[in-house]
Amino acid sequence: MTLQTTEPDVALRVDPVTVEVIRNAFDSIAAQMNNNLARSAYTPIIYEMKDCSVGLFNADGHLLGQAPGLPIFLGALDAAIAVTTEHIGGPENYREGDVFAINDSYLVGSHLNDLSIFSPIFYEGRLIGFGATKAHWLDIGAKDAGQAMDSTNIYQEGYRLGPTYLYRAGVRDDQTIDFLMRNSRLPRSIWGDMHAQVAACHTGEKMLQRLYDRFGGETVEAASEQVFEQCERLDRETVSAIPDGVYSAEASLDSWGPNGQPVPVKVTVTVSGGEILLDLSGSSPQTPGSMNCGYAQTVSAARLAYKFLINPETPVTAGTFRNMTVKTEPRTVFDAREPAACQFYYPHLGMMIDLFIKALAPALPDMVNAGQTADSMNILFAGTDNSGEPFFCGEATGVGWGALSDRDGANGQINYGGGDLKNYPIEVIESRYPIRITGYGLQADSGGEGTHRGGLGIWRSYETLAESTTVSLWFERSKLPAWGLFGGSSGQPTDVVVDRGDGEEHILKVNALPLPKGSRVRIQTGGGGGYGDPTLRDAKAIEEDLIDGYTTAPSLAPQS
Amino acid sequence: MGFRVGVDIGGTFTDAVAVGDDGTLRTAKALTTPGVLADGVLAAVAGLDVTLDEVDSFVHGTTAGLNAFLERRGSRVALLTTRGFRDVYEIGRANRPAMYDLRFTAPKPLVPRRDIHEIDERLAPDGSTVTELDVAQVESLARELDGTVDAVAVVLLHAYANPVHEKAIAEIFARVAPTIAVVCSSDIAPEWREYERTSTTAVSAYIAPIVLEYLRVLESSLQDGGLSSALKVMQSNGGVMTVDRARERAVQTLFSGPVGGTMAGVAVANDLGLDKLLCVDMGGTSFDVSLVVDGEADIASQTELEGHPLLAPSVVMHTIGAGGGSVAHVVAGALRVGPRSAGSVPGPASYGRGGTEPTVTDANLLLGRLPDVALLGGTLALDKSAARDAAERVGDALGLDVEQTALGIVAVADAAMANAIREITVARGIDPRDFGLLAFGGAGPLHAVSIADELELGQVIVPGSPGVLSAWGMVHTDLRHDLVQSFFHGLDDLGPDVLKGATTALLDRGAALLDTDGVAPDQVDLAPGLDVRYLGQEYTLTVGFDPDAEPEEVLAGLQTRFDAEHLERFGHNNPGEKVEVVALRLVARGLTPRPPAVDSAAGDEPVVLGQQSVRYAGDTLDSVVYDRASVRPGRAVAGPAILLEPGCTVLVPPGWVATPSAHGHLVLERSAS
Repeated sequence: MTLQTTEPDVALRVDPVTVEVIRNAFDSIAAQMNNNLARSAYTPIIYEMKDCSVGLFNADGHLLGQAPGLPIFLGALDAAIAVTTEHIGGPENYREGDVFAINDSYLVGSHLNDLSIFSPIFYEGRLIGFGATKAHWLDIGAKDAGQAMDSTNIYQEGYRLGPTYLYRAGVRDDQTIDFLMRNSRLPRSIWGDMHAQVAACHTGEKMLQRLYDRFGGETVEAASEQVFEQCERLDRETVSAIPDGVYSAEASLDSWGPNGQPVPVKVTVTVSGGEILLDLSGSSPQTPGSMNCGYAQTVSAARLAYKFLINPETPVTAGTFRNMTVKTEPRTVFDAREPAACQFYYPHLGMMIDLFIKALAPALPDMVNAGQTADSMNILFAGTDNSGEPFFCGEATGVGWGALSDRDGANGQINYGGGDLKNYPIEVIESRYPIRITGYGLQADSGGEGTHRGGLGIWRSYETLAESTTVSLWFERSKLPAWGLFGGSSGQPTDVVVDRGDGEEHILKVNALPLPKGSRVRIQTGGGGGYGDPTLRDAKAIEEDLIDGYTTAPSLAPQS
Repeated sequence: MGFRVGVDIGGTFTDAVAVGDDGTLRTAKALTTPGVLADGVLAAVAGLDVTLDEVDSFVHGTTAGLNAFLERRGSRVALLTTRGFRDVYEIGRANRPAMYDLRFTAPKPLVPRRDIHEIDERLAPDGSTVTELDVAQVESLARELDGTVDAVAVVLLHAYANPVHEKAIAEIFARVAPTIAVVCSSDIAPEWREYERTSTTAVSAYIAPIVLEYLRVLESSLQDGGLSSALKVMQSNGGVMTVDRARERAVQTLFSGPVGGTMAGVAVANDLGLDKLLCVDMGGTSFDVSLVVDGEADIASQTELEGHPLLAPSVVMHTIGAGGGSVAHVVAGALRVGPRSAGSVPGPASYGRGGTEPTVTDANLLLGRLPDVALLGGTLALDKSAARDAAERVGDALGLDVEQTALGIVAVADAAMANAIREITVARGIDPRDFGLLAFGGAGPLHAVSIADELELGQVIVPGSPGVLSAWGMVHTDLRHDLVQSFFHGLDDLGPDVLKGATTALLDRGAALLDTDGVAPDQVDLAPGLDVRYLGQEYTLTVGFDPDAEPEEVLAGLQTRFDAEHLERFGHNNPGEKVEVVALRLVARGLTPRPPAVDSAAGDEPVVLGQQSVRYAGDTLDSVVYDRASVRPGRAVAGPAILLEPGCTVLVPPGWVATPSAHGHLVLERSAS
């Protein structure tokens, strides 16, 4: 069902029905790739926590469809393809059966643990697109197991790959794969996860080829351009409804690492005639610690921030972010250059997202939420279990979300960048590692007050059972709690208490702190900010909160 | 003559089917009677003209539990958990599947925080005791809860490894507060992952008192009416169980109704000698896909309902919002169909109940695919001009005429349904092209051939008795018990004696359950399997084995079979890699004999109801409309044609031929030319 338009200069126009059928097919292909990856990966960080992302791209490297995974990877796969295309001297040098890996933080954004793997897709000998995946590999040979909390340059963070062949024209490069496995503390999971990623790319390949069989290349390609146009048009309409102007917000993170200094983040959003310019000038220079990221990752996070406020219900394609420009200054936390360490690529991005939302709050009061302590809140135990086997066990922890104009903030959920990232079941942790969790719950009274209350943060207490264990901590926002909006008060800040048998210490960030057997660590993430005047809160809601123990006293006094 | 009876309760009608020893079929419908569902069941059975004392087997699909859940009218439940872990249920896995939605709200727990009580006790992962159970505390809580809650869900950490504290709590409640139903996680879902186990146990406790009361009333009414055989209940796992068993596992009745269609798929596959079927049920608001693979329903050990995870073996059912009522609308110059549905009020524009947006049903009407003589559900005349006006409004925004718009709406809906099928097949390494498509539900047989074209399938089947299909499927379903036990071993370290011992014990348990159910020894089927994965992987594949094989033989072939299955399912494998076994499973079945095919001699010429112009993508073609009931075996009908029966329209496009089978199913295939 292809209708030719009467306009002379326009290439093939595909009828809206076929466009819609093809658009749905792109998302469906990405969903199938994602299922394939999640179900056959080896490590829980992929199959359980969904620290991964998949996308289907056209021959120009433009996104056709993507599947839920880690939203903070939104858009970073484009960069992997673009950089590789340039590196090999142009798209004509891709061959059927090639598979590439790349993880260089400065080129593709996030930390080195995130391996982008993609393969070109051919149809009748012609390059038609790419199947791409990105997933977190547990250990890539950093100076410390898994990841270092205190790296000061990228050479301490593991192997760093520019565009690298895993397969050349269908032939596996065993030397490269041997290198990747030999330099990891967990070679087996490297093997399994890598193949799961490759298999997901091949699923995308098969399905896109089948779509070409069905509709023909000309129609699929013309339809995808129309899909991009639709997305762009929709976004421009929505942004046009925001009053033109300059919106800004700024704040500081606790520190760039153990014993580090505060990190200021400055967000300036200029809205003008359907366009958004996000300018991060004035933010911190790249830090001596590992809180840094490449420009590609900043763009990813900016897209996520944008998507939270602009048409969140519509699928993302290459047409989606065409009306946004992201400006950074080189050698800042948002545009790091060699030799900056990039392990903790996210805290300033989480803050940036939170500030973007705050900045636009006056223009979009019914879309925005109040602040959250927008970081992953990582805790990682490592050591040797009582049978002599090495182990490490790391996880991210949920936070209280900010309240909105019509509802309380969510209790204890993974922060902005985490999406479908899942926590780690207590029974699985205790079965696999010499750690006992002695309690886990919502932190009463931690949500900011407001007409709508901020969500509650989470507390979790650990006790070590092995003779010697180390703990690494990366917790943020102990100084600046999640802010309220429109008269709501801020939530409680983050705190971590470590007791090694000689009294309690408050430690937010530390690398490989030795813990004798029986040590205790209690983490507590921040609550979300409140929204609106607390004195206007519904009396029934106040009473229910008390009965359920979300709050312990009916205070109505704004705190901040 | 003896009969086997199946009864399925739907939203509007309660359907009943009786199959006699000679294979003859009787069907009946009665209005569903909300609140007193048993009345509708008895009325439907009365319509069969079968007396209850003639019934050898009575299988029932109940939506009592599902409706109580969906409408949140379950019982008042208290949850007891280990000290320090009160919020496990509310926090869940802390994930946000709607990743760009700042308003995302996690599923609301069935038990509010105020009703969650922590108990002093603690087990280690190996089941050893870290902290003894505080018996006095439980006794005092039992007294406090007595009279205030209907049920208690007990979920203690590591209870899958050792149920001792949960059982002790159940005993204390039985002694102190005997009217409270107690549901222990170690009985319902003895698997690790505390949140999923909590959710499963809470759902079970929430629906148990309602399901049990319903079954009690129904059973006593049926017994009063003369039923002497045991009442059986359809389970989510595609088997039936006795009422006694259902009392212990209410959660297994949750999808008792919806799986009837899949079980009909199993029976149809059996009738036609097919191996693989895609079962698609398209109604007014949703499109459900399930699979029959190797002649059996495709089952997963975990599922979820409205975001509530359930560790309960269930037929895999993939649902999308596409149905006759799906609304077409325009977004930024693009035509979207669904997932919003017009429902029954206002309904499609052509229903004349105030709907102004075009739906899939309206589009079918405009294309002539729903004949003007059709009465949807038998009571409703369709207003074609209202459908036309609605389609015109959407068409104007797209620059399409009414026919193009209607074709477009159907094409987008068909493609969405085909995608849904791809998502449960291709991504799991199953090629849909190997399958036939079984289409049912009010709108299924209208769209079946288009979906088959999209997916390159060779065969579409419209079952006999589509109006009472679930009840018909239930009649043919086996008794089934799913047993599982943790069985954690590296394959290298697993000795034949250990496997033999564990397998024998499990086989004995399965056989004993079937014996209690009254299954004759020659109808017992035991299918053991091992959940296997590569060392360090999480998801497992179940590799079945012959219960009579020597354990050495089973172990010797395991790795190769697992490698092969992994390659097929996921597209890669790792033959040199170490493999570990996680669980030992058993599917224990009491087989239901198949009735003989009824000799249906070739009948007279099919009855023609009229002529109809039907618009296809290419052309408008004159189609003959037949009364389906008159199309007998041996009388193939070539497309373009329409076969009409109450509540169901079968579209036979040009290039396809419909042939009735001996069992009364309609098999559609591409014409030889």
